[in-house]
Amino acid sequence: MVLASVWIKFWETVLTIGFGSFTILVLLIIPLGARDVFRLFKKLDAVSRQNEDSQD
Amino acid sequence: MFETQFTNLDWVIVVVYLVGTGLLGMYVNKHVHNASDYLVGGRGAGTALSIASFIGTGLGLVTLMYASMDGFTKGFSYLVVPLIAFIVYLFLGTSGFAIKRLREMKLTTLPEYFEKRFSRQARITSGLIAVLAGVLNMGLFPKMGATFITYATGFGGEDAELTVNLITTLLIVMVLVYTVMGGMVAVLVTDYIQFVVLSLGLGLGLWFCFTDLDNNLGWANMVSTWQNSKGEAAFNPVHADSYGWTYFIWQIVIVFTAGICWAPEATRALTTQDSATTKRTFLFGAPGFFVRMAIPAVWGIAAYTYVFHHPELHDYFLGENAAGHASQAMPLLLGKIIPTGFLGLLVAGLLAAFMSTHDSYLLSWASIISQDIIAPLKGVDKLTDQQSILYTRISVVLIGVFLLIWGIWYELPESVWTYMSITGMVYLSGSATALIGGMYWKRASTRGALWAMYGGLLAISGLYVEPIQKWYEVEYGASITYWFNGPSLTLTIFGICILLFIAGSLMFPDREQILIAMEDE
Repeated sequence: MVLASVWIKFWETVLTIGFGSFTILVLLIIPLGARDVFRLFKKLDAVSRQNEDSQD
Repeated sequence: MFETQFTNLDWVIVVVYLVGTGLLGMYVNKHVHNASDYLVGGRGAGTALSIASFIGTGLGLVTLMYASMDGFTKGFSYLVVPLIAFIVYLFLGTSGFAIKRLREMKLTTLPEYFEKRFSRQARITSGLIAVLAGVLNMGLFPKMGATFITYATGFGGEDAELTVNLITTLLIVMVLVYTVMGGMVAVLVTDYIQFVVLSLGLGLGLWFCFTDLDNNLGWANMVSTWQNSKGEAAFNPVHADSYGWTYFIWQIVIVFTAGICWAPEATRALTTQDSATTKRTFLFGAPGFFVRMAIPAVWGIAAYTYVFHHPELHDYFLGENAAGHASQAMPLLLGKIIPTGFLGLLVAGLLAAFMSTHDSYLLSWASIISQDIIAPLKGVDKLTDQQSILYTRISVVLIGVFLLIWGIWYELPESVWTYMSITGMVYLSGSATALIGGMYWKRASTRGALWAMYGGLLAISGLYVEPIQKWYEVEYGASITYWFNGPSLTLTIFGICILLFIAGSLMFPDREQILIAMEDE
């Protein structure tokens, strides 16, 4: 049972680190991801326009 | 016994969310101008969007289901798998091992690498095996998703098979329409939305698991229930009554090789702006790859605790003549402990996750069929944009038909994660060997790569391990599960692939290598 309590403490620590780092990641990704979505649209449209212009 | 708190209000939330996501997918379609946009999003995804999409792809409903199933049957010990994923992705993100070079080669699909490094035959072979393994691997996804919906919404019961099959069919049709319409830009954008909604949903589910003391949940209750029920094996993954060392090593091999060359994940590495973004995506995506399995595992652990303290459910799931399957426990738990309204939002988010994983997987395997099998067989370097999109769409539909047949016919095994690991090894054991060997060993040759890939096909035998174990036990009255099991068999096959790769490369070097050797002399 001593070994089991060591494992319990271990998993408690692992989950705290894992869930904590994910929470920070989520708080960063939500605003920055939205910015990237709009940048992606702009880039795709700009590349398409460039291609059309070069064909003309 | 199977009633949940899912009401009409929750159905409204689900429908509004799904219709909204579908319309958004169609709207972003106007930004798709060519095959590159459709298949790799024009390689325009920034770091944050790449990470969201990377995690969104891996965070499917099926992931939540298989992780919760193992959490339900093995307890805290299963957390070793997400921990391995966390460490492996941190390593890949900091070192850039293999993934950096893949991005620098500007590939559209992974098998393209094998043509650039080895030969066209290696590309086609890799493509064929990738599709075989990939489609088998996702064969149980729809059924898992349907099982979740059935039990979380209160339709579950002892004779719910017909309901599960009907929902399976409906889900496949929905996802096919969505993928065929949108392509990779829609995948990237909806992955982002899924990431946001799911992050909130996962946190919500976890919150109730840790705070619902009325239902005997909470950290202390979960730990004591498992400790009293299964002892140290519930916490120690290498304990003789838990997974054991072979499984532990097997998981390291699978998570590592899948991170590098499992197409749906690797395709994310190919869609980034540059190789630095690829590395950052893997590095910062590591917590996501931990959480995607750790949170549902905790849900599964909580489901066991809940069931353990409710006599009716205890008999159904854990009794001597238990009729319940581990796959039903987690959705039932969430349906019972999460309040109306929140439950609708969670189910909507998870359904969206189901779509998100499917569109990414379908697109990955279908683009391999069009780019790496059809194009080389037609003898052209590159299909036209129109051909490329057409063949990809046809392949998506054909894979969908297979999923429908396989999903309904194949019975859920005890551990879906083990099933997925075995089918994944069909491709990973040969192709990962050839990919890593090709990058880091100069004498690697086409013949060596092909032999390794063919060797990987032996892993299909892993699907018959359970029937053989049962047959042996009945026939000879002894158990062979200790030394004959999925992990030991597929690890042996992985070793065989490495040997075949080395032997083939040394015995049959490529022509260029012979010329270089002659020049040196």
